[in-house]
Amino acid sequence: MVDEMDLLYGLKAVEPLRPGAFEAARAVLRAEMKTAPGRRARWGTRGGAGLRVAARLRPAWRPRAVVPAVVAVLAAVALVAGIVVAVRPSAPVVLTAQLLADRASAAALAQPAVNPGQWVYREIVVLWGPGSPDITENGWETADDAAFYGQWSGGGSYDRIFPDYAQLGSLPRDPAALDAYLEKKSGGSAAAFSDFDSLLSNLVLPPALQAEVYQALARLPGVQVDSHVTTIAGQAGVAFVHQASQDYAKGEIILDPSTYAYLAQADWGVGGGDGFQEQAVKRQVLVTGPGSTTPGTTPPSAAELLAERAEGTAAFPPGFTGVELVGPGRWIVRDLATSSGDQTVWATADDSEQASYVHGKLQVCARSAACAASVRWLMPAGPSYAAVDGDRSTHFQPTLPASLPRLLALLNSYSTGCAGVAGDCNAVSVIASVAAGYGNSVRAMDPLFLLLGGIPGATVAHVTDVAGQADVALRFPFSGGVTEILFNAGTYQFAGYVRDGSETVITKDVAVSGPGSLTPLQSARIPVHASSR
Amino acid sequence: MTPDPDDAELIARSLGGDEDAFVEVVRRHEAAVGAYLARRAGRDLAEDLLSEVWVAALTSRATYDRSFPDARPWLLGVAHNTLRRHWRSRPAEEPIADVTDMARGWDPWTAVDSRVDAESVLRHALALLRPRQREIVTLVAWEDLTVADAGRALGMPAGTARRCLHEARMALRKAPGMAALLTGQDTVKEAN
Repeated sequence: MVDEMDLLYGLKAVEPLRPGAFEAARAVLRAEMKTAPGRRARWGTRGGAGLRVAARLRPAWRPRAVVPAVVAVLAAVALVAGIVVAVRPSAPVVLTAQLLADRASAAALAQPAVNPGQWVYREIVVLWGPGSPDITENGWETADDAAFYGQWSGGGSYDRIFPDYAQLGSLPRDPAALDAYLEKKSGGSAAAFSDFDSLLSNLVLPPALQAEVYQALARLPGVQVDSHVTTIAGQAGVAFVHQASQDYAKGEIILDPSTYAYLAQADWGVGGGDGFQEQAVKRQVLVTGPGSTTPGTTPPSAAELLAERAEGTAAFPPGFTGVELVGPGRWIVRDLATSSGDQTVWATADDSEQASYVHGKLQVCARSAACAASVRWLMPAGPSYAAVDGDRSTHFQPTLPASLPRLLALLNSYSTGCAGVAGDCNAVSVIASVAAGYGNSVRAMDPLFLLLGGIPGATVAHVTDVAGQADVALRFPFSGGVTEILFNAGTYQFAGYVRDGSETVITKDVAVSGPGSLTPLQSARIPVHASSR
Repeated sequence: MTPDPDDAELIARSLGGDEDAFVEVVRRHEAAVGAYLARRAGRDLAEDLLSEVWVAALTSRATYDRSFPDARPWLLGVAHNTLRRHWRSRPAEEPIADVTDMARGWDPWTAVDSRVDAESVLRHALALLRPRQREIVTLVAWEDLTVADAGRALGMPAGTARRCLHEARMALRKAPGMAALLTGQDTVKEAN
């Protein structure tokens, strides 16, 4: 039986480094050793200064408040799970997990509910472990984590162990039942603890559910509180603590001691080992949109919401079992429904060659060949397939600009036949062309669809396309070029576009062995309209 | 004849000022660390980054836990961080080839046979993993580390690493196209 690890072993082969490279690297190392210690500080900031990191490796580094003697005595007789907090020296309050849950719940319930498409800007500090520097990351995510934008290396989208955001309301409404549900689903209280963290750190939960999560945390077996912790970002906090068990490290979920906002998650090595990692939210603010740090809770426009959903679907296609992933030279057959009739066309994934039947004869044409002049290329202009698809030698690291304004400017720099260059007409045409003409879903690494929501004047309409399918159209106020991009009304997958008044809908998109072939390759299927058929 | 000192001993000596001792540690693991980098970044970039890994390791060697005789997981962890820094600091603007010369730079073997699709599906599945999951699963599959050592490389407790590996494998199985690869053994055999 082949399993996923066997498949991975098959990818192990690598082109070895040239022998001279090893010597050269050692020479750099030797030169570094020869330099004065003072100069080495430069590397400290990049590679993690030894002492600074070592001091962070275990709980001992966390500054603890000095507990007054009288309070300490009280603590000894206090509840077993309780830890003493000196709010005022004369009035010690025992902070129990339940009390923390009550306060955090109350704070959560006082928060306004937000739209699932509400954008959140986060700055987080990540410590990955011994030898790692603190890494500060920032970026934008929607409240439901469906779309994200920015340079996230560690955070990213939450594990789909829960129902979709829209269905979170179907979780058990009682904290004890929620614990039982998650312990069963994830395998134990420590795993459930980590799942709760996943919910709190990645989503902006509806207030009632957030309150319930805090209550459920307090009831989870093995959970205590620590009333004086400090995050790696230097914030003081109070923490739910899950003690280490046989398989899992000790974990903490740290909240702000006055607002009870979520601050950080930390976990330790088993048995006091030296593994320690933490992610702390330095700043979190509801903002007007991706790329903006201006606070705002204005609901997203219909166009923005549609673009976010399309982006999220492109990044994480729902329920796909056989999506294509093909090399640039792989042939794809597409059935097109257009305003002027149906067509079947073949093209390579990088759209460098196309083929179709002309007068009963299959004509194959390279983009550079003379016959190309009479062929309608799905990808008439724009960045190369390699730039869009990502560099396969580096795990598809995309090579298009990461920033939305720069990406927009780049896409606008291509000439796509727009009547005027105003209003991002060229960029919209390029995005439609990339989605239609290039055969790979890895394009989702770049926030192409996300750009569409911000195009000035964009509106949304529910339409029936030329293939008879229900679509949602993003409409743009251009006098020519691509004026509509169509997404499936059920799945939000790309469906087609309207260019110069003529509609093109892709009804089939399948990888085949070559031009003229209609037989789908077993491992390379592209169900563009999977749910509509 | 005395046995060769282990990595921990050599690192201890290097902290005492013995430069050759640290270079010896580097010699022992340079092929493995180089291969790690090359698998993830390609040979050219791997060659560029290798010296950065050694210098970063030199700088942080005081934190090395000498109860571990073998330094490879630690060095792979340093290499991992070096790669992360590199990718994070890559310029947002890189030259974009126009659509007219798009065929440039593609390795021809990725174009045709069924192996291509298997590899593409796998690489895409890997790309969809959370970074930590991806690191754990590739350290185990490609760098021959135990789960515990892979966790060590990433500064992750063994229990967390086990869970992370499990999650990664589940996510790989569920990734687009993987079901066909896992059931269609014929395809895989052809590929080999």
